[in-house]
Amino acid sequence: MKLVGCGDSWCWGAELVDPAIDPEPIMNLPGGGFERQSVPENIKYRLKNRYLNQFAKHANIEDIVDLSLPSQSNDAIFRKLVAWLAENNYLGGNDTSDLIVSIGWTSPERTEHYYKERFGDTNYAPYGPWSLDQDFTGQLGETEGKKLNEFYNLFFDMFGAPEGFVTKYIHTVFLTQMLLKSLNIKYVMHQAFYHHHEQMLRDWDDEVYRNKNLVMSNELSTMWNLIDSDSFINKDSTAHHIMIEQGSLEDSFIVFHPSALGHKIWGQYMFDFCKERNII
Amino acid sequence: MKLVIFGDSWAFGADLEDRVNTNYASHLKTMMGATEVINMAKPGISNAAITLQLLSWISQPGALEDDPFIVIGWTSPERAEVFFDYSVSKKANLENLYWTTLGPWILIDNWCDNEASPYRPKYHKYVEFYYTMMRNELSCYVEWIQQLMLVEGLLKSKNISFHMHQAIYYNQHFVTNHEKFMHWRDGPINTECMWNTLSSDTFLHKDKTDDMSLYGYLKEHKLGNPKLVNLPFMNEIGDHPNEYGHQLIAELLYNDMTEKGII
Repeated sequence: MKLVGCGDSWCWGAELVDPAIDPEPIMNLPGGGFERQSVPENIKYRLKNRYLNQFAKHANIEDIVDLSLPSQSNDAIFRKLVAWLAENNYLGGNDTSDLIVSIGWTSPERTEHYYKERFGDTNYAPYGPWSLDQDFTGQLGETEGKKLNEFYNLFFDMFGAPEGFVTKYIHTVFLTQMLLKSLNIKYVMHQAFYHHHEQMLRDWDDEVYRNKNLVMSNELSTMWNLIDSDSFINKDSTAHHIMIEQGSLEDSFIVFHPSALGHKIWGQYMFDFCKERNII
Repeated sequence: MKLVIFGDSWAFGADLEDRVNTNYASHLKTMMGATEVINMAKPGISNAAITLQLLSWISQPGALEDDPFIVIGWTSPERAEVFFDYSVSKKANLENLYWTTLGPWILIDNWCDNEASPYRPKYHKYVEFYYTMMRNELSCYVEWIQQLMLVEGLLKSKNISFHMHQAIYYNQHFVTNHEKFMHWRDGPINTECMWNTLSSDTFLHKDKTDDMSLYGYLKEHKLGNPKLVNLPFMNEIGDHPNEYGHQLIAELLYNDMTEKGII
């Protein structure tokens, strides 16, 4: 069986580093500590401990396709999954019986834009509330960088209303479900977390986020009710919530991401959910 | 059976003298023997807005009573829907407080000076930056196919009868060109594979590449002279079908639905 993992930094395993060589949280280092993540011992530690691999271990799956990446939006998660299914001809009729897809949806306010020029390794530029704190002049040059700095500030102020991003979010989840069902692909989804801009993770509150942002119109409720709760783990909750419930805030998280314990809890929880519902 | 139409100015019947009685929706009503026609089409609408409008309509109480049959005329994919913050929409006294469509018309000089526009001159450069720098043909195309997949899946999951067609395709800057329908096989995503997941049983000319859109088909098959500017099935400006054009479209759609056994 092949496990396809989709998600953002929580799925990727950000901040998971070997305490034997990095005892302190790396997020406190300049640049968010991503340099430390690329140390071979830390890569090994991350891949061993993150929930995707924990789940694979419980399910005896050795073949993992990793489509996750830190900062990804739900738009990017969907786009990359479709691209992978297309590249491997699963959209064109290849047998899908050996696949299981795991999707950890990220916070709904994130999006991406197709920048006319290269934006790092691709043309897709990720956008999240953190984009307001970034200066793109170093990456794109003085003129274009300033334009993007201004644009993102305006985008946040003028186009960042919840009524807009919650609509896109529900469309994306619904569309993904339809696609996977139509291709007879086994799958399991969950909401990783809701991101509270300018707040530390210890202050995040799912209920506050939901009441403020996930207020659904009739049409969105119709669509949300069609999301299969036998494939979407705790449809109206988050992995973040379960990790706090089964572990503790201090032990399940590092700074902005789950600790090895948090990942362990979620890997087991996901496996039990899939087992109970005969997904695997 | 009640007939429900979604689409842009083509489905609306823009520029027709007697729009209600001569647009293709009204012809279809007669041909299909529908008890009523509800035409939700709106000029200048984007595909994202058509999708939202359809979802909104379906979720209304009683919408699915009286055996609805839905016809969707998709518009050109480069149009974008943006969600302005409430405060901006309110200041501009917009009827729709949130969603606003961006199209090639935003590139016209002085467009943002229009009193009805939420894009005051000071915002215009940002809107233009978004429209021209943060999207391209590929990204618009990918969004468009996702919208088709979403709507097709939703209607099928709710067992609602429907038929789709593409009215126009890449209608740049008010000039309706006859363009070839191209799949993107290279680049970050192979869109042909996505396209192939859509059903041709409910989409007019889905797998034609030269004349997939209504405009393309009428131009190629009814006139045979693509150099003619003043096309007999189009109005004088050449941006919308005339009465004869609407009649042809209705026949085309009806024949396709009959051949495919949808009605």
